[in-house]
Parts: sequence; C-alpha cells; structure tokens
Amino acid sequence: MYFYIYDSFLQEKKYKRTISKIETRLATLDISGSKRRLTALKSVQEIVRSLSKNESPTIVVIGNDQTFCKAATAMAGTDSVLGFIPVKKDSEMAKILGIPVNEYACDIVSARRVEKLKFGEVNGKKFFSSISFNASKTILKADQKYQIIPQKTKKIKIVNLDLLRFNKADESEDFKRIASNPKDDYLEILMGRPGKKFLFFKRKQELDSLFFVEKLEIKPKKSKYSVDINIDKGKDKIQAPATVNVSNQDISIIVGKDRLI
Amino acid sequence: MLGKNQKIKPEDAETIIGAGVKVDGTFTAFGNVIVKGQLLGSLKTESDVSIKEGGSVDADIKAKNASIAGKVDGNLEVNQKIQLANSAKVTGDINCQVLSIEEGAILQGNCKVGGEKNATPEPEVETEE
Repeated sequence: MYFYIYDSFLQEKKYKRTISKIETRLATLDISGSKRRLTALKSVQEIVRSLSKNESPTIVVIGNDQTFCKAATAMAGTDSVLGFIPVKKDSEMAKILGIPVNEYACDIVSARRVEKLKFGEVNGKKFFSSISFNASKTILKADQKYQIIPQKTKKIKIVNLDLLRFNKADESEDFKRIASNPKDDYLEILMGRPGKKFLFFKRKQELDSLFFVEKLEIKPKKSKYSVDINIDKGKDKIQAPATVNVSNQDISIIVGKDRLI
Repeated sequence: MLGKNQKIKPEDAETIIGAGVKVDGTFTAFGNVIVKGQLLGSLKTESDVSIKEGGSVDADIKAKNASIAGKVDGNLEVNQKIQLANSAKVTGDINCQVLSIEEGAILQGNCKVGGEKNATPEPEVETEE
C-alpha cells in the first residue's frame, strides 16, 4: 500500500501544476495511494508513526530534504519502505539517492530499488543526514583513542548521509569523495571554515579535514561554554556534551540507478 | 552526472588532518593519511602517510609508504619507501626498504635501509612420527 505525505509548502499556488503532474504520473504508473498533508498541527513524525502501523507500507514524502529526513528518522526500525519525490531542484538528498525532481521521481518510486541505510545517533536521538556545530568551543574524543582539537577551524559537521563538498588535499590527486557511505559502521567528520554571505560579499565554505569514526564524544572546551548541535540542517538542536555513534537500526529507502551511495 | 562508483569505502578512505587541526593520541587509520596540521602521539596505517609542508608530527609512524615534506619528530617504520622532500625535517630513526632524499632535506637519526623485509612466520606443519 502506498501512502503519500505532502509537505506543507506545497499548498502554495505555484506548486499546483507540479502536484498535478506528479499525481497524473503516479496514476499512469498505477501506484496512486492514500494522501496525507502536513499542517502546523500535524507533524511528519506523527503521520509516519500512524502509517507505519499498517502492514509493510510504502511511505513517500513529496517535499523537501528536511521533511524527508524527519520522516526517515521516525521510520527507524520499522518494516516500512520510504520513497521520496523531491520538488526543490537544489535537493541534496535527491542527488545522493539518484532521484530526479518532480514527476520524473515517480518512475523511481515505481521501480522500487530498495537500499538499507543506517542512521547516526547523538545522545540517543537519531539523525539521518548530518549534525553540525561551532568548532571553536569544542574538543572531540574519537573512538576513545585520540582527541581532535580544532585550532583555526570554525565548523564541524558529522555526516551519516550527505554530499561531501571537500577541498582537494593534493592538487595532483583526483578526489572521488562525493558522498558519504551510510551503509558502513562509520561516520565522517568534516572540519573547516563555513561559508559566509554579507551584502555582495560571498565566501565559499572550505572544509579541509576528514576523519572516520565509530564513536565520538563532543565536549565544550570549558564548562561555561554552551555548544548547540544542529540536527539534520533543521531547527532541532541539542546541547553538548554529547556522544555520537552509528545507530543499530536501519531503514529501507527507494533509490535511483544514479545514486552516489 | 556523478557515477555511483564515486563513493567512499572505508578501506580506501583518506584521513586528512587539515591545517587548523591538532590530533593528540593513538591514531590508527584505514587508508592513506594526509597530515597538513599537527599530530602528537602515534600514527599507524596499513597504507601510505603523506606529511605536507607545514604539517608537523610528533609521533612514531608505522606505514606502508611515507612521503614527508613537513616536520617529523619520531621514529619511522615503513614497509616500503620513504621520500623526503627538500622541505622535510626528520628527527628520529628510519627503517625502510627504499629511501629517497631530496637536496635540502634534514635528517637526524639512524637509518636502516634495505635488508630483509619483516618476515612473516612460516606456518607450523604437524608431522606424524
């Protein structure tokens, strides 16, 4: 049984035509299903939890990366399958999972090529894509073996599933580091300088350190420091000290042929 | 379009210690290690180590190959080749099969180059009497 969760921003008039094309394509492929709409009162987590009670449902998110990540974490450990129809052209999850945007994604949902992917966990709270925080006030302890002490570094990103926009460490080498691997038991730590925008001035993000860890402790350098850890590029935050590791629960996700994972 | 073969596998991953980062402790990596920052403690990998100009390592290093353009204060035990660039400064003993030193490199320590490789013990064979 297919269930479609429509993101709240799709109620805007400008998306009417896109939605109509998606629904027509789903009907053509004979994979139409029950619809649920996100509102201010109904969160994606609530909807996913209630739909997961059905027998082996396929839940498809029509919307943006943040909603998709929230749906994924809410589905952890269930036997549901998650699909994604991105409607934003800049969707990074779409690039990683090899899914085209808008109605073209319906064919990927219909083909049902499923991969099992893992989650990251920060203080027991799951994240699907990445967490990030300010580097200048933190010390990291990796796998109980070594400390990573940021000195001139400003930003730290711990990645389960994301694109790795990475500086070439050596110009002579052809770096093939495009996306992280969410199927192994490791998380990627990226460190560097964040991008900045000020009036017409724009500085690109520069990440120049990369580590692979199984378990990581994030601690403030001084007890008086407060460090906010931002989860999945959304509004959810938790405070350090925190322990980060790969979750033992996974999720089945529909992916495309051109996926990067 | 990016192909799906362009993903990270842990075994061929490259750990990179960037210029603004200091690592302190027992550092063991899967694949190649590139040091542009600072490392204290010990460094071990089954693949290659590359210490870039400006990089500083105050640790014993065990690796397959080592290419050094920065500063190393510690012993190097390398299975195959060590390359010292003209900007390299090494204080410590070196043990490897092949050593290449560019003009201008500084090396203070004992060198053991060539000779027998670390022999793997032959399996014991049980014989019936």
